[in-house]
Amino acid sequence: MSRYILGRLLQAIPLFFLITLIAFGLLHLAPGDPATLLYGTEMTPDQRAQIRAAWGLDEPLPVQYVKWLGNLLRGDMGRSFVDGRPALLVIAERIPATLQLTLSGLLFALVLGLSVGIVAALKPHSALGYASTFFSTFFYSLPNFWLALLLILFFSVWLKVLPSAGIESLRGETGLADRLAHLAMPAFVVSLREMGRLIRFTRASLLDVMSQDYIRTALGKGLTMRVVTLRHALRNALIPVVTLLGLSLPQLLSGAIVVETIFAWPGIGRLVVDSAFQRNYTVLMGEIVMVSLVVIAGNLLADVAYAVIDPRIRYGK
Amino acid sequence: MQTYTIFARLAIFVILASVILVGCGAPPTVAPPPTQPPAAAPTQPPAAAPTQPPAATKPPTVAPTQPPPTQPAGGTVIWGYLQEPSRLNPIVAPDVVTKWLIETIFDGLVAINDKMEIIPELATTWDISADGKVYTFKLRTDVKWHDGKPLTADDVKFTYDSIIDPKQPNTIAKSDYALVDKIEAVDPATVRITLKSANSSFLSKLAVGIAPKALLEGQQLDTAVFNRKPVGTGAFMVQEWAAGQKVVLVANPNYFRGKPKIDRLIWQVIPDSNVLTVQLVNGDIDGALIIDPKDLAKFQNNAKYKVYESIGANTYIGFNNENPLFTDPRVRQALNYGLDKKAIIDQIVGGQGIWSTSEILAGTWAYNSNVNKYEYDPAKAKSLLDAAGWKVGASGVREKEGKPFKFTLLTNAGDKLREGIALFARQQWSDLGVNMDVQFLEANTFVNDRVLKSNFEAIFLASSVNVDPDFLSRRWSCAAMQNGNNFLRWCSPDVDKLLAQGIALTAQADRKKVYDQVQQIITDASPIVPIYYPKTLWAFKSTLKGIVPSPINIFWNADQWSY
Amino acid sequence: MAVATKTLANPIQSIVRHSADPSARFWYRFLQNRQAVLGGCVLTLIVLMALAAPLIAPGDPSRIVLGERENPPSLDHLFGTDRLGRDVFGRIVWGARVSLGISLLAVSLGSMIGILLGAVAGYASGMTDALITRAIDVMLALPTFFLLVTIQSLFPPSVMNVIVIIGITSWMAIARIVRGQFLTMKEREFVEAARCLGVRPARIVFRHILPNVSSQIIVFFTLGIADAVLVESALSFLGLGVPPYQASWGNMLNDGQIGILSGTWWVAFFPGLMILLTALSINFLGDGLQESLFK
Repeated sequence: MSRYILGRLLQAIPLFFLITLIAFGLLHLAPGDPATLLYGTEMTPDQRAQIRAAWGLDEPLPVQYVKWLGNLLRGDMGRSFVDGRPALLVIAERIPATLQLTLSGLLFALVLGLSVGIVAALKPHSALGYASTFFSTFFYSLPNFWLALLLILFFSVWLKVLPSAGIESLRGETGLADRLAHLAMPAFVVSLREMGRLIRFTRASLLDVMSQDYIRTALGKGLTMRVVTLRHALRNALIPVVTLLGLSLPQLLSGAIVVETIFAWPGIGRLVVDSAFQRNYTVLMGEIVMVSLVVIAGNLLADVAYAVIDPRIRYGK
Repeated sequence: MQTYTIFARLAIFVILASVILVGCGAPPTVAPPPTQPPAAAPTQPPAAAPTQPPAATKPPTVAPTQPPPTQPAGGTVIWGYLQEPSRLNPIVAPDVVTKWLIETIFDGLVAINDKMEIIPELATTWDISADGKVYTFKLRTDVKWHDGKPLTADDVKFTYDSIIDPKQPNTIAKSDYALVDKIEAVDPATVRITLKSANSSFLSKLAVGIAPKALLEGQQLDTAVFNRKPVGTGAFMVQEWAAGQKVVLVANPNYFRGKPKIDRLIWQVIPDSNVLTVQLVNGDIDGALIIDPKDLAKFQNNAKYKVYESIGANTYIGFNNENPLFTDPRVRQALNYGLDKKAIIDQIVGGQGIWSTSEILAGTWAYNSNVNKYEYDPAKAKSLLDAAGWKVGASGVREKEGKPFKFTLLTNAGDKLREGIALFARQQWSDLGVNMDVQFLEANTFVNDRVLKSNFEAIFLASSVNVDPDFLSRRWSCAAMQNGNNFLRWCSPDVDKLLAQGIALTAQADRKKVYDQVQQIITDASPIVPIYYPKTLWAFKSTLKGIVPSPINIFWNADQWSY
Repeated sequence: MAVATKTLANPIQSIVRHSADPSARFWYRFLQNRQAVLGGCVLTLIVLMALAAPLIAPGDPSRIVLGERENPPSLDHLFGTDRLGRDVFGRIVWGARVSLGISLLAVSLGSMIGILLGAVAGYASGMTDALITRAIDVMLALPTFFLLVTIQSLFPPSVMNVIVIIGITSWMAIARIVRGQFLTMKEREFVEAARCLGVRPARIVFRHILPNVSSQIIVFFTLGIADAVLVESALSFLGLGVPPYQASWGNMLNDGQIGILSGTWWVAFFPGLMILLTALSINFLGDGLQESLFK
């Protein structure tokens, strides 16, 4: 078992470097540089040359990459070109906001998704059953920024019950209620896709489990539907759902770019967008390092989980 | 490993999530108690205005200090904008957006008012030597940094030395100060700047905020921690900067012009322009730029708001004048005549623009209103093109020596007005038999890779707002093709001679004659098709008084604002 | 599938239901799924609308008519006009071509890449498999946003860019599915038989194994188109999509978003509605296909 894990770890390391190499190349391939949006069209050629030299941007790409990698291994991600602060700090301070958003969205999707999916599976031909399949697909098919703007129109402009943007109020009382009010619409929009997916998946999985022989046995034994569902069917039905959730973990950090932009949410997604347009290489590379670490760790955990569940995998091949 | 473990894990997950949610909330900011609006608002003593617009040589009279406010002060002004400042340090803040806020935190030797005139700020008087090379400034003695230490001439020297220092790379335009020979702090209240040659535009470059030497000496300025927690001499001090979210400024009680009447100024970041408007309409913010003229209707006839307007930079279509298509001035003039600018201004821009003929802003002293306006005249455009040898071919597109008149216009993506105008221009010029393709490029690529490298046939962009007309030499002089911003690749020896005269002369009336001629020549040659100066529009709550819009910075007199 | 057995009222139904012809079975099950049928019909209508664009909305949909800016829906302009006076209905119809075309081509591109790589990885195993799986991991770990920015800034922005971007960022899912299928199928007897007969590996992959995976691919392809339509609109919203003078639902949404909050709701409402309808019907269709193909 530990050999398996070690093997997977050893495979993960070159993968990580490969990702950083490709990302670095791609980033620098795009024309433009960090100074452009700061100076605009008023930049003179000398000043440009000076800045590029000072920031090490005129060295050949392989040299720049090696330097960056060397610093990274020492724990230094470099400094943001836009405000001069350490890139690690710039990224880290945005993580809590994004996590708040994506975790709330996930929570919401979980609660609603699971419950609706379970009900839809148990009563497939009821009104709720049909409605749930319809709405799950509906949520999945909505352009989310269109919905976001419509929600703002409805709740902030017409009804004036919810704030239209930001993470908290700038005047008046702040506090939990205020933050929740600000979180409501963005988290809802973020949750929709996952919710749609969860409803369908849970319903399909539960339906699948319910058709198994052992369920028939349990019912034949005289157990009520309720007991059968809760004690036998659900646990097995939820296994693939949990795996599905695990697969969407990396998305927690990449952030909901569009939602963060519309709702002025100070998270990572928006940082990536801004940094991409500004060619803020250090912050972008830092973000890639972070996301790839999470993805690789996630894959590793999934692989290990599968190996634990299925002994064939850890001994085979 | 059954139900129990799965549910246990789910439960842990949910608990973890809730903890992060609640725990990661920043400690609720202690909002200031809502201020009581003053019951009766006595009129404010009028702000002391500088006596006359000083010409470059005459030292102005000392601006009297503000009498202390006679009514209870207070209130918070929340300003919303699409992005946040970069570095709050006047030496390393080249971008316009950051400069807006820097103005409230730092002061310069001089300042620019709403009429784009130079007024004294940290310097009370100044004296320019007869040969125009030596500037001697007398500083105020009652100015303190936000940390309590007094401002001295050393700080001024330090600031300008740092800007010029080649070891400090990311500074504001060094070329503005290339003429400086030396800077001396003669005594704690006197600064002397010696130039290599006389230049009457130099004074306008001295509005840069002064930074404290004690806190910045010896550091690499573009990465200094100071940039996040700045210490200036200005009307407001930075209390808090939540990245990506807001910058909170509080009034400086020791400001030399008197404590500002508002308590706090908050810059809130709202990246989506639609939502920015909603926030203003809902009253969540107190003021913002009106980015899309369509939103003007919401604020204009609304008693809750007051709309302020100012003039923005020349927005134009520029040709690559070295491209064989555009070397003939008749072609450029034809395209100028062939564009219906009135329709653009009235219809696409919603009337929120002013006809433009020059890089110099209309309404400023150097503006020449007597040049050819190039009113829409498609017949004339067609005959000019014919005369230049471009005859309409079989497909409707003009040809010369077998080559069709076909080119690509580049502009940056994401600006609805620009999109509309570019597409409209395409349609108009195709009526003339000119086939223009439009490409909307991502901004960084557009500026860096195409504009600055002159890698284009035609571009559509906006110029910049400048105080002194000498910026024309950065744009149009022959030398600027190598060292400046003459990416349009047009110059003329006559214009060069005039520009050199322009900086040598000192009386404004004399300089005006020179620049009038320059504009005449340029307009006749039409290396660009100037379209309009967009009106810069701001909407603020009508309860906020004292705002005077300026083309450069709405915050220039933020210390005078009050509820 | 339900626990309780259903009594069959109609003998014809029972014949069709258990008929030996898989396509008859498929159609029977498919047609029972009302949502899927509805989805299919709506989709067909939309595609027909796109194809019939010159008939339904003659003229240049990009013609700027400044005098008619921002008119609400009327008899002249069924969906109103936008801020440059262009007819929204006409742009929706012509934009259907662009949006649907982009989605179709992008998913085709992604599927081709994914199927090829997945098949090779699943069949060849060993080093090749390891390499391709690593490639999939890399592509999944790379945040796609600046891949977008890079491609859009390197090449003149165009419809082709958008197709390529969506294509190369969406092949991973199908590659994984195909690879998984190939891994299992590889051990089946019919493959062993083919090998013994000396059939070349390439032929085995494409002529023998792949047809058995086709149902998965069809479902994935269908659902992928719906995704692609949504992705195209998101890209245009961020300014990285179809260039403005060519109408696509995505950039119409982008154009009109200010209208939502300032009173000219029709400019953004109709494109959004079309995207929703299209994605919805495709998803229903795909779901129906999935259910009918796999029972």
